[in-house]
Amino acid sequence: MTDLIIPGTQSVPDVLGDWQAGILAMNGDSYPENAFSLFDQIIKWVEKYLAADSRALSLELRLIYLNTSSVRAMMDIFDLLETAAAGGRRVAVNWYFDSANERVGELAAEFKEDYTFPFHILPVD
Amino acid sequence: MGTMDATDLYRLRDSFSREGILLCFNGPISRSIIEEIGEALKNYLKAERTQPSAAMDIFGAYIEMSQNIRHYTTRQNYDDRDASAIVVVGREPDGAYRVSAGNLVEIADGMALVERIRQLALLDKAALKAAYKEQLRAPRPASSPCGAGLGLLDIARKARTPLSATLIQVAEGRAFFSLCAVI
Amino acid sequence: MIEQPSSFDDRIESLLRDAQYLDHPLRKALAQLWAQDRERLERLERISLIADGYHRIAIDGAKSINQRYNQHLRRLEKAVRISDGYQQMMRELCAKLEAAAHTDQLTGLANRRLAFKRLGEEAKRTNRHHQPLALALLDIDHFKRVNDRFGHYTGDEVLVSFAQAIRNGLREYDLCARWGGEEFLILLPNTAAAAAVAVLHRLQEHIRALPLAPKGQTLSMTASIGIAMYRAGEDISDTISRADDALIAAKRRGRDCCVSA
Repeated sequence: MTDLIIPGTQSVPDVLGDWQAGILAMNGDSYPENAFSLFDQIIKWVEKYLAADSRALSLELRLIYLNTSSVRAMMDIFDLLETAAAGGRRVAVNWYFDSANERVGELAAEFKEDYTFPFHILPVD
Repeated sequence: MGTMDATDLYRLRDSFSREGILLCFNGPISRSIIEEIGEALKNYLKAERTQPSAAMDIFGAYIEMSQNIRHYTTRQNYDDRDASAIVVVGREPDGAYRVSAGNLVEIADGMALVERIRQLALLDKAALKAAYKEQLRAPRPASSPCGAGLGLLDIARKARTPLSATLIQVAEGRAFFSLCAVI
Repeated sequence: MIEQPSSFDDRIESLLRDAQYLDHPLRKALAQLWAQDRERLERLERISLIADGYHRIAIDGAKSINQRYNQHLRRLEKAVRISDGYQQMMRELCAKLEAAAHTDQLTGLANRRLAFKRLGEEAKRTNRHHQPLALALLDIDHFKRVNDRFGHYTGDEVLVSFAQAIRNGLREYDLCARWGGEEFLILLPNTAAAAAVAVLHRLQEHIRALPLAPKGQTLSMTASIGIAMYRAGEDISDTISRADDALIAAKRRGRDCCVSA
């Protein structure tokens, strides 16, 4: 029942896993040299949440630049969601991006291609 | 330090200007150096009013190249001297950005890299995307045995021209590998 | 209690006029400040009138200095916002015009003008960094027959499909431009001879496999290609010349093939 709070830095995004609200929010750039140590906590939190009960989980993403290690790690998180969705769980991803930077939208769209759960890509002015 | 005096420094600066070099680092490459130079690069791109998507591509190429070197030298357990690298970001007269990096490698790894880059150069957009997705799903330890799988593909997809790679033997079993991308 | 704006002006004026304060140490400073303030307002008004000449506003003498400041400041802010909007529009328009000037109307590919521009840039890059640069001229085989058989309108449609196929059959790095009626120029930056040949052979296969069916009749098309490698320091037109000679050789060799200069 614990929240996950990771304060962002230049290379690490702000992460907030709100257990009560069923929301995992991530904002900012992600290019840590060792993505494993950052994302391991996030993945474990998501696994614990999905195993705990049957409430919905929504990812509210405002991620910008992701290095390839972060891309891999995000894929791992989305894979968890896909498995949960296959089991009937309510999951969703909402990825907001600055409409001036279409590259982020393209990255999100490439992720979306491989998943069937609700994945919304939303440009923001 | 060598015997470089003010004239030499002036000539060096002049040659950097002619080459269009904006940022250059030479030495043991640490996580903080990568971030600091990254910040300087971000600021430069912002001051030049670069399109956000182009700026992200250029920054991404720089990060992937530098972090690839870090991962490799860590895996190889190189000491500070051998873990030394050179990273250069420059600007072409036509406005394109050139991101280059060079570091010491085991000869076999270097040759594998050069060959991989030669093959990547032939791929069209769709093939590069497919290769990227395949690499994304590849099991972790097996992927990028020679040190540059997904990162390399990422740079290749963003580059304006095929990536350039060179390999120069410098010692027994060791070579200097350099990679250059025009974004 | 908030003072009425115009009575503030009056109060300052009367203080300055007041004989008892003539020698007051602060009087001179206040007088200078007051004069400076009025001068600034006049400058602001001049700028505001220049910036927004379309909307003449009446300078209401009864308004206080502060009110007039605010009025002009608001005008200027509005003018700046509109100007920003126009500048953005102009930038977008310029970009569109530039794109139009560089595009072949029929096929949507780059036109000769853009081709020359890119050729120049890549040649310079080659000379600076000693990187290989490959150039190819591609000509559709027997295209005249298509026009004769189906008419020029359909001929154009086939050409458009062809152009798309060439674009799709090349790499993202390669420039493909419409060079002539049924001739195309292909630029392969930082590509050595062997790689260029590999890419262009693959392109020819792609063209052979093109499912063209103008007016319901299946049509198989091929192309002849002449390749030349740019030589450091040379004039681009010489490279193009060599590619052209190679193209002629390819035609003579029976078409549907690739010849390197």
